Amino acid sequence: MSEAVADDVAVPEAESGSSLWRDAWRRLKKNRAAVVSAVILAMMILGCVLVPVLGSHDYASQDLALGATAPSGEHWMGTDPLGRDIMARVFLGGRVSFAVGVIATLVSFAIGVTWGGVAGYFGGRVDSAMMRVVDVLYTFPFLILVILLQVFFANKDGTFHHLFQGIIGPLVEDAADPSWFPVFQICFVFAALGGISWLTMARIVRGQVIALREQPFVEAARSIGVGHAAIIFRHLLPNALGPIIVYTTLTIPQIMLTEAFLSFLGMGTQEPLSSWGLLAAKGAEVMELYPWMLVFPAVMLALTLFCFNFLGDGLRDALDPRIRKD
Amino acid sequence: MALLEVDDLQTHFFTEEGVVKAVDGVSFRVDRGEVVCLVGESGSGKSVTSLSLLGLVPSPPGRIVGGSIRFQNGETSEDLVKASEARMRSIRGDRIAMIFQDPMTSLNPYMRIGRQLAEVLEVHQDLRGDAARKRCLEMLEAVGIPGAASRLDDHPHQLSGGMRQRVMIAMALLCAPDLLIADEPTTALDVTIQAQILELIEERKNEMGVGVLFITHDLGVVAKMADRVAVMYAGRLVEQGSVDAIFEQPQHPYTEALLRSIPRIDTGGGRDRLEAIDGLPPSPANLPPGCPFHPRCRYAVDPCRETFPDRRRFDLDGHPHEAACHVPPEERG
Amino acid sequence: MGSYALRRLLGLIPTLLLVVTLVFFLVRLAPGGPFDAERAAPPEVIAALEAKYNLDAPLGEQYFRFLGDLLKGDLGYSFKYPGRTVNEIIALSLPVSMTLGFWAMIVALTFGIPLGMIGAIRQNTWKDTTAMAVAMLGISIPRFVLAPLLVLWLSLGLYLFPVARWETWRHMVLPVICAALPTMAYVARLTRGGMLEVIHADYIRTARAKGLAERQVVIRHALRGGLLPVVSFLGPGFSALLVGSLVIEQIFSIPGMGRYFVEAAQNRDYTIVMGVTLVYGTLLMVLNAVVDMAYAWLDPRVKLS
Repeated sequence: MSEAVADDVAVPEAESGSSLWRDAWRRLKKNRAAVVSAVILAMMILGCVLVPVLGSHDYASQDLALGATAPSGEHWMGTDPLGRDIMARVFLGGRVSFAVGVIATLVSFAIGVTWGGVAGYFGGRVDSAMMRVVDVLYTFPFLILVILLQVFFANKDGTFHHLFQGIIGPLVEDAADPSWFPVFQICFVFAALGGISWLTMARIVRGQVIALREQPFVEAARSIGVGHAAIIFRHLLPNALGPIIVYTTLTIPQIMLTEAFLSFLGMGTQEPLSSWGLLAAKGAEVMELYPWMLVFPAVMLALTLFCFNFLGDGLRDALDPRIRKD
Repeated sequence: MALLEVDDLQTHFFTEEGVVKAVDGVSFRVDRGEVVCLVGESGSGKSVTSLSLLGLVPSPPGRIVGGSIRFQNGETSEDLVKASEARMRSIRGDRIAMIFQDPMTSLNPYMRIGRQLAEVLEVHQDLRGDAARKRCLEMLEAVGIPGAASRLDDHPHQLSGGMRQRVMIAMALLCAPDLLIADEPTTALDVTIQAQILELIEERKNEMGVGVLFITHDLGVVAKMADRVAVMYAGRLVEQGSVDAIFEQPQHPYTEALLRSIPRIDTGGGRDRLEAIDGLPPSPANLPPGCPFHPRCRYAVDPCRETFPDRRRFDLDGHPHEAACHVPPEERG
Repeated sequence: MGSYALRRLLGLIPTLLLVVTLVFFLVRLAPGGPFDAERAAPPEVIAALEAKYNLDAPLGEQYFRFLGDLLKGDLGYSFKYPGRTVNEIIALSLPVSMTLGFWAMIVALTFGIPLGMIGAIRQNTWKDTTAMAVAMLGISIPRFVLAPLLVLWLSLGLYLFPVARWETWRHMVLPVICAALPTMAYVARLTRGGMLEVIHADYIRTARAKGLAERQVVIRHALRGGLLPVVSFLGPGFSALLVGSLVIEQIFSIPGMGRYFVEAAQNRDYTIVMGVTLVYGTLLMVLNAVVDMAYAWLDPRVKLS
């Protein structure tokens, strides 16, 4: 009669909640541009690691008799005026460019997360003061300041150099050896670039911390005795990480661009190290004579930036379903 | 002739996950001067129905795929489904007006109230400047906004929720439309303000003779406002009739269940427990075969799982009534 | 609004003071700088410095003298070029840089905003994809790559524009384009993002329900809210544009402040570097204050606290 519905009828279940990450991963995979970009980047990084080692030409060996030649079967990207193989140099330079991108981003991440986290957590006047600093710095052409600092302090025997020597002293046999100087300069560049881009990271982290602090479920959970760790790791962090990951991915290309820019002005990577920026800068000087010297590093750089940007965009779309494209 | 006659309306959404049949065969009518309440839970398709009437269904991914919407136009009626976009634009805000659920987000935060109101007059009646301002002022006063003159120059965030909704109502009534569609206008408001807004709508209706299609999930509101009620479930109409008939002699198991789940003072004591309906409404992307309510229905029998019931039409309480159920009331246990 | 403006501008003063003080001490501490005992400079310059700065006086007094000089607009002497003052150099070069920056921003906005709007309105169509691909290119190609390429193509290849220098309007085209492109790309992306958010807002639906044509809906209702992200970008945007112009001025041999700055940096000409930093800093801070005020004026919900 009017007994309960027969058992073989499929009662629609409450939809099983797909986890945030699985959803995001699924969406990301569907974004062709992002996937292609990720693949290209992976190949690029692999190339930078392997080509200078396994390639047929050494990046440092000169052949003055040969001089600069256009791309050929022997030298796929041509040679520079000293007869050095450009392809090997480009991939070697890529190591520095990627290293700068990643390390400086980590620096900016560290500073930004700390600053924003502290500001968001304490709130009140501490927060106001800290964010005021961010606001002011945001509008200031930080790069100018970096150049200023470079000019004033990054010289041999400058304050920062002494600091650097002090740090590596216990780690290497002869800190005073002048060949450490380019390393110092690169480290200076890492620090400077990281120092420029932490601002937005700080804002994002602060925003996330504040939003999470306010969640009623945090209070509710606390009131029934759920441990902080459980709340933080299972609920808060996954939500907070989203924008942070997106922004980190988008910072890398910005930093790489800035490094290239500084190198172009002679204030970034210095010889004998090379980076795409430096190679492109040298190439731009002799562009009319040997265009391949500009084209290859420039294309590598642009391609990498392109891919990072697409990937970052893809991550943003995947992690933030509100800004959906339909 | 009815002011609005909807016949077998179907509005589907074509998404990546499949076709969502948000509205799947809905028929009802609204006459001048009467309030028809379209009732249903979230996801039943009532909002999509109202958007379909005005051709405001987001497209892509949505589209009206079938049925007709006949709207009275002088001596004849026209089918809005077939109307051109230009024709629809001239109807929107002028002959058919709509007010929405959340007045905070439904008004442009960057534009002054007066300007948003006057826009309707400008578009449909070519009225501008002082003449338009005067009309707006009159309308604001008519909807009961104190100090209307200064309010014209305010921005929405300077008004309270109740006042914003009054502004929306004023905006809808400026061109004296024939039909007013109200999509849950009081859901976002405090209870005390709710009552005021409902009164306001009723007053204006009586004065201007508009037909009102009132969409809500709140049966209390239905009891107060409705002349007739149409009950929706999973994109279909399951029952339709006069408000008294619906409340006193519900014919469809869903309507019955709904009424059992709310507290009522009119049926006296007798019941001491509210009964929630077991289960959840089906996802519109994944409707069960046959009658969509059968998984939760206490009277379900085999035909219910196979085919959607025909509409049985009859008279109840002196008014036309219809219900779509395989199991007539006499046969329910 | 007026009092807000005043308060905002006055509020800049402590920040400026901070920057100035910072710069003052930085210069004092720079090894090999003007105030280092073993500074490397031509003797006439050293003589001029000593005469000007009275280095025997206590630091506090030097500081106030410095401030005083600043207020008078006196930025001191070049460290490397005897007899030339920093003021001279800045007076010559600042207008050039300002012109470049101004036109670059105009171009960036004029092309970037419509590009972004197309992307938003024709979302997910080929127009959208193309527009955003162009924007992406703009962000990814460094200016110092773009510039030589454009020069190769348009100047040396097609003889349309001069290769360098800054004399007629024809000289301005390539530098302005190169400077503007990345900024234009950002503006396009921001506009698209802002418009997309607004287009799905409830009040846009209301506007349509009133019977407005789609075009009116976009222009009267969507645009204002949609462009707000672009307005708030203007501050840091100008900052970035300025930095980018350093490279442009180098490549095109434009006698702007940026080029002098870079030369000074490479030459370790401390006083010029310092002076230019101060000018840039002040300029940008004022600019940002103006942008903030514009934003507050555009968005009535912002409380002018």
